[in-house]
Amino acid sequence: MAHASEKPLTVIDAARARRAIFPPDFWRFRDLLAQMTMSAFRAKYMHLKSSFLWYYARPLTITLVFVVLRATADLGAGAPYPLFVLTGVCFWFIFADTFSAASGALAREANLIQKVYFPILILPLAQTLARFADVGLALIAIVALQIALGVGVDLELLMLLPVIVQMMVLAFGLGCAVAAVSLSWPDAREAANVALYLGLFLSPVFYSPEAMPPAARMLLQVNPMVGSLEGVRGALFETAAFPWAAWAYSCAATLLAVLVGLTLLGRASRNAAEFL
Amino acid sequence: MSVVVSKPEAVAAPALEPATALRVENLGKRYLLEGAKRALLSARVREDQSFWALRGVSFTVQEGERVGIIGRNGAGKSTLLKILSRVIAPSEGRAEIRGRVASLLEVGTGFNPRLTGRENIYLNAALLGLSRKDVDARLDDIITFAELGRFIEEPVKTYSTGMRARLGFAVAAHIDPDVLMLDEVLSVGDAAFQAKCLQRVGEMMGANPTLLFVSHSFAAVRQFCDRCIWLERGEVTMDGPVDKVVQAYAEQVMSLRPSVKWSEPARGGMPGTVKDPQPDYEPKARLLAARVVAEDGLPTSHLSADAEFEVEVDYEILEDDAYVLPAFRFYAEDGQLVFTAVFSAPGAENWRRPRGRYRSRAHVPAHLLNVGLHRVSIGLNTPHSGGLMRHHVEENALTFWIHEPRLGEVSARGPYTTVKGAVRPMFNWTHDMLDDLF
Repeated sequence: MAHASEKPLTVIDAARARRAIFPPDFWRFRDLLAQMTMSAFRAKYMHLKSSFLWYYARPLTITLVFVVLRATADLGAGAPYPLFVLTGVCFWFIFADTFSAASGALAREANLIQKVYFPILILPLAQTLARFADVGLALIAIVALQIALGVGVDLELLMLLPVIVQMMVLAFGLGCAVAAVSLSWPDAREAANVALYLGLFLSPVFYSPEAMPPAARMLLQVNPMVGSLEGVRGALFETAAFPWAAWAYSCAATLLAVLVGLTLLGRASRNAAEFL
Repeated sequence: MSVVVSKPEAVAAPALEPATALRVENLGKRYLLEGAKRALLSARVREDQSFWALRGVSFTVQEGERVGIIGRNGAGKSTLLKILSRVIAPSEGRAEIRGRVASLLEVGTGFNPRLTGRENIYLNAALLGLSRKDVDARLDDIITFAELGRFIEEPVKTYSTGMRARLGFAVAAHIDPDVLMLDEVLSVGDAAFQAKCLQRVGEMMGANPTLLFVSHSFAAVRQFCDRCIWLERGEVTMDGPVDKVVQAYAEQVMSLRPSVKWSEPARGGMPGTVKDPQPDYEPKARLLAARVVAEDGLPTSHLSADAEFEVEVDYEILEDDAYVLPAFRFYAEDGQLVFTAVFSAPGAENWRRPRGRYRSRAHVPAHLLNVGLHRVSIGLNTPHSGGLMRHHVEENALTFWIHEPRLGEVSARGPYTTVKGAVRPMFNWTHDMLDDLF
């Protein structure tokens, strides 16, 4: 055969150690990533009659409740409280939903993983990418309220995209890690759910860290979502300063999460089909 | 006739030679028992917490070779195919595959029920590693092949099982792989579509892909493959030409019996197992041996439907001037009597022969019996006006298997997957266009 040597060579072996963090054949399956992303997007929106409107149901009700229930005067900082809460709620739930979707992606497609080979990294990644639709929807609501309340923007707006990407990557990395660990320890996802619930209150969703006592603030800074949520507000609102230090810490935490997540998923990928 | 496979060198892993499509070296797969499943992230597993589904499997497949893998349930066939299609990783050993691999472990996997048939073609093809551009070029062929008509624009959740299977196979059948792996995928769909799938597999074989076909149906393996690997308890029992391996496998699994010998009875005693012995006469003959003989003159338990063969019986006439005729009864697998073969030439009536040993052969024409398992009962009789005097009868003396002719050879089934009926002769048809007659 004249062209035999041009055909790709697939090597299958039992080696555990030399597993790349990133699947080397990922590029070959880029069309699958696109398909899976569209699939995840449709699964979320396209089967509902008023698909996109439903997205607003949760953040708007929660925001409304907190605006009505607001007891103390100054929980928010740098922006009117309704805008502060809406931004926090929207982006917190984008983070939480992305994390949940990514961590459950393997289990959801167990049938597929057990039948066909493809880089399983595609599954959490597709879920993450599909959630960018939520980001767009959230921004529409936030910007609308921002205009209504007359809050301006400044040059820090340029940081909006990096902050959002950082937050999504953090959710993706943590999701990968939980997805991988939950293959051999199914309780991981339940534990992650509890952590998310706790995180809702340990992140600046309903209150600003500046409204906290200094000791609590120090403790709060451990949470990488502080930098992300404050970063979104800082980028969007003229009145809020961009938290450079906190966000730098968020970026470092994100990098760590992605490395750990990809490593765990890469190790799990060789035998994921058996453990699902 | 097992081919001895040499143990691979542990260190050297040279690149595949150009004509080699697949090389498997000492491949093994250990499954963990439930208690050890947590060991995914830590490599240590105790020996008693696991079992080997596959161990020490080595073989090499050249480009264009069509290899069947047979074995009983749990022999490791599917495990081997899952490793080679990279769904699971081996526990030890190594495999190298050259070229694009298409593995149809289960057609129609990965359909999104909410997407239309057309959208699912793209999704499914992407899953098999095809780019959007590749699919665009094949889309019309796929849609035509799937025979879904206007349903192609409907969500897949509205499809019947058969429609899903058609769509799934249609995608899989159009990705033009270098190495094609099939695992019982042809068991879906209705008969007409199965026939089409078989034909498509045949066409793909025309493009000379390497085929790995896993099945416990040795009939299918024999039809598609020219080489066969027999797995038993995770190890290669036999590897060689398909006819030989399938024959050995079937003889063990189905207890086929291409030849039989009966021992000499005690002098004066009742010979063998005479059925319904009639007390008013002494048997005048007894059976000695019988066999199914292929065209090459050798006993065989595997016959192709397009091959003629003979059933041969040796017997002894115990007294001079006896009128004894041999007869065969052919039964299908379900016990249904297909036909009786009697000696009917002119002069057969009252054909008297001296004492001695004789051999009679009945010639069975090609394209007579349908495919499947058949049994032959043998009798030595004296027909008379009052009925039949049975000297010696052996029920189910011989057992053999009629196979579908190899792909591309003449078969009375024509384009059909199966043709029902005890016999399956070739008929001469004439067809006329009525308009031309008037």
